[in-house]
Amino acid sequence: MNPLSVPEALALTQHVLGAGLLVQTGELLLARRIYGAGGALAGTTVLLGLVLRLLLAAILAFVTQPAGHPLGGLLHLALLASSVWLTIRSRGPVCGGSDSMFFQVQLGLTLAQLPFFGTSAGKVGLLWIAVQSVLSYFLAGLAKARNHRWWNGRALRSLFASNGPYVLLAAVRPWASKPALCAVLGWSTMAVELVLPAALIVPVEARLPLLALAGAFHLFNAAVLGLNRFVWAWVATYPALLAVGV
Amino acid sequence: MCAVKLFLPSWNFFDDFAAVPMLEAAAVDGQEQSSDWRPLFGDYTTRSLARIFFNPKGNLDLLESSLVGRAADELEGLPDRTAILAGETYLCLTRLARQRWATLSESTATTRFRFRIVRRELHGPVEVVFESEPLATKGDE
Repeated sequence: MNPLSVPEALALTQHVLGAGLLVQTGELLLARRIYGAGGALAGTTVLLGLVLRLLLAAILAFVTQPAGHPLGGLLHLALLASSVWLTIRSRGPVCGGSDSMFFQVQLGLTLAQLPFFGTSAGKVGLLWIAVQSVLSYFLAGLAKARNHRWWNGRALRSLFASNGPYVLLAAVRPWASKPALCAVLGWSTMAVELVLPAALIVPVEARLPLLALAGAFHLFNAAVLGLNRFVWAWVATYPALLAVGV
Repeated sequence: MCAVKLFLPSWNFFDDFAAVPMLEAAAVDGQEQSSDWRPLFGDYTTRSLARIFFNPKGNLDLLESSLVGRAADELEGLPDRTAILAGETYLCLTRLARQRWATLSESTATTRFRFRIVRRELHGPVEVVFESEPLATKGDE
């Protein structure tokens, strides 16, 4: 099985990222009371900025940008600027880690449009995205591996018994009193995160099940913790992982 | 600074779920507290799976919770109460607390309330990070 070609990977990345940004911006439009009078982030109106961001995301999601086309470059730069504006306006990321990865994917797509990389621009952009993706998994896994509470299950027992900040699925609440299950879930999480960088060195056939497992992990977190944007942000990096590597 | 972090992500999150800063409030009558402390963020359990696809309320709660968390870190680093009360962070917290307090049933019977940020270990003591002066339930002080 051949790796994805650069144009294929860029197109897929654009569409998945665009869909993710549509979800994020749509959610923010419905929750914009936080930016209105009396809201925690009250100030100048964000409605126009969010509507513009929604339009840009829709173009990204549904219209393939030809490599090297100046309008494509402008679209990516506009979305990058929009993300910086939203972060500053919100006094920080609106949704933690997923904002960071959305931005890194946007950066990679912007790099892929820059003329001074010549014909290698697409590869440079995809490589950027792939490196950020494997770094995110590996560093998160390493941080957990250094914490004994992840090995003995206590970290997840704390999570399943917590009252904030995550709204937990009712079905997992009883897991707080199951130390063995929490330990196994902790080991599984660390295993997925620490092994995923291997996607850069194994054959493409072996990358697909690895990425499917990682995608399932994100879907699980979306169901259990409500972290739906993480699914889009990290799956948007998978075309790059199927295109680059040794 | 927050925008710079977009360019340089740390990828170091979810390494533990220990004490989380939380926002609580209580009614005030005159200068005296007249109710118990109540959490300002409500139910942390759901049965909905639809949020896998679209989760505006959940992500708004997370955004406001993260504002509380960042505020707790920032307030702990400030030298004195004057510096805290003069800051944008305190204003942001006040608006958040006022808006959330208005959704609680106690709020209709009171004209004043106060809020606090606490850290709660799961089965441990409560650490008070910051406690406000009595505030009007309506307004922009």
